Amino acid sequence: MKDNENEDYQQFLQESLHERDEIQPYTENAQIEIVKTGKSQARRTNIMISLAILLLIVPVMTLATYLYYSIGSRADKLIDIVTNTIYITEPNMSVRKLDLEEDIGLFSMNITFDVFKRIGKEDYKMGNYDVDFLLDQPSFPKKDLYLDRPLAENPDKESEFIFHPKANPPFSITRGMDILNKLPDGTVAEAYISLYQVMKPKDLQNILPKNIEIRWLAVDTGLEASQEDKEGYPITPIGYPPQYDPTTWSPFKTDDNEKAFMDILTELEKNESVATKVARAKSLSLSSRIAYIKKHGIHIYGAVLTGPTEELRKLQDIKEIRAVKAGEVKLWNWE
Amino acid sequence: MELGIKKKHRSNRLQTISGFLSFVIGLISLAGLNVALLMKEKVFPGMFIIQLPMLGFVLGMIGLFTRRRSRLHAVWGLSISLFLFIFTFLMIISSLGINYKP
Repeated sequence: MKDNENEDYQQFLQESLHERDEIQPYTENAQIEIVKTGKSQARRTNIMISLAILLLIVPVMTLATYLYYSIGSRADKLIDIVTNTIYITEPNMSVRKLDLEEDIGLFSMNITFDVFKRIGKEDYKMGNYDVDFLLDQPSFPKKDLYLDRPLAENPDKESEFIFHPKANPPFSITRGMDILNKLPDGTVAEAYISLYQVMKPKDLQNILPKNIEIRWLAVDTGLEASQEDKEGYPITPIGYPPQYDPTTWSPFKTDDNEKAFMDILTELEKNESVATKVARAKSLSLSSRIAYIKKHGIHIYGAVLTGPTEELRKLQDIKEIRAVKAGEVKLWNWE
Repeated sequence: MELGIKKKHRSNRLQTISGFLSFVIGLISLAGLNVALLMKEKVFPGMFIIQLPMLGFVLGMIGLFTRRRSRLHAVWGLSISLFLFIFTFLMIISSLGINYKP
């Protein structure tokens, strides 16, 4: 048995040695050629892999950005905050969200949209907004407004158009009717009114001439008397459009605009830093204002109206109205 | 003991041609996609995200199953093609989730 194994082993050994003798070693030139081929292949592979990694950077970052903005509808929420801030801080201004354009860059988003004002019976394009976001942090919006009588970009007590009954109005408010009186008949205009007393939104409709439309109501939130927040930063009026808005995806496409207004305030409070960047006032103080409205209910102290100029002139005879300021004016479109 | 290599094994470690082509097609597709992204094209060119990656995918699969050859290039070509398919799919899904307009 053991002899057989030894014999097999010797035979295998001989075969292996014989096989080894058959192996022909490479010549020196062939070895150099092999090394050269190996080196060039390795170099080519390295270059291709490096190139692939470099070319993957932009697509991967783009994909990551799109996923960041789409997961949890983050982009849509930011867009809603921006447009809703305009509805409640800019009197008689609306946004057509269907025409809003967004552009996603690397870890950034840009949104552009037009803003409109209703003067008389027609909506007029009054400018556009351009807001850049770095992830979820907005920059100050770039505005291009074509308004004849714009509100101050850096609001202060003198430059506002609507005043609380307890606020000290500037001297210029007494000349508010001058513009309306000198406008020709056959035009339509926008008028900002301030009241002597705060009142319920429904009561305002009763004291106004019939041929006038209410476009926006300034709501008493407890800070308007001093026109500044606790830290002393100037604040601007906040309010809402009282009428049904048929614009697609408008937050006020509802029969209960007061509820829609409160819902927007609550939503903006959660993202106040974004809303503050978009608003003219650099303080919105939403928590204290929401608490005040919840405690006292919605009362208004001013409004923005539109209608034929001759109808708006009648506002000076209404005893509840403290002051009137003219806004934008357009050619007749009332009928 | 002297080192040597049997002649029949000489080209064992060479890359497969199909794998190499798959890798090159993947790189061309990626380059095209980069240009489209950097130029902010609204509509991505389908050739770089569908047709070429499909060709690269097929060649990569052939390269992957070729025996006695290195599959490195084939794996890279296949991976790039797969990435481009996943990229296209996720971009479509996520675009629908951003300011969707019917």
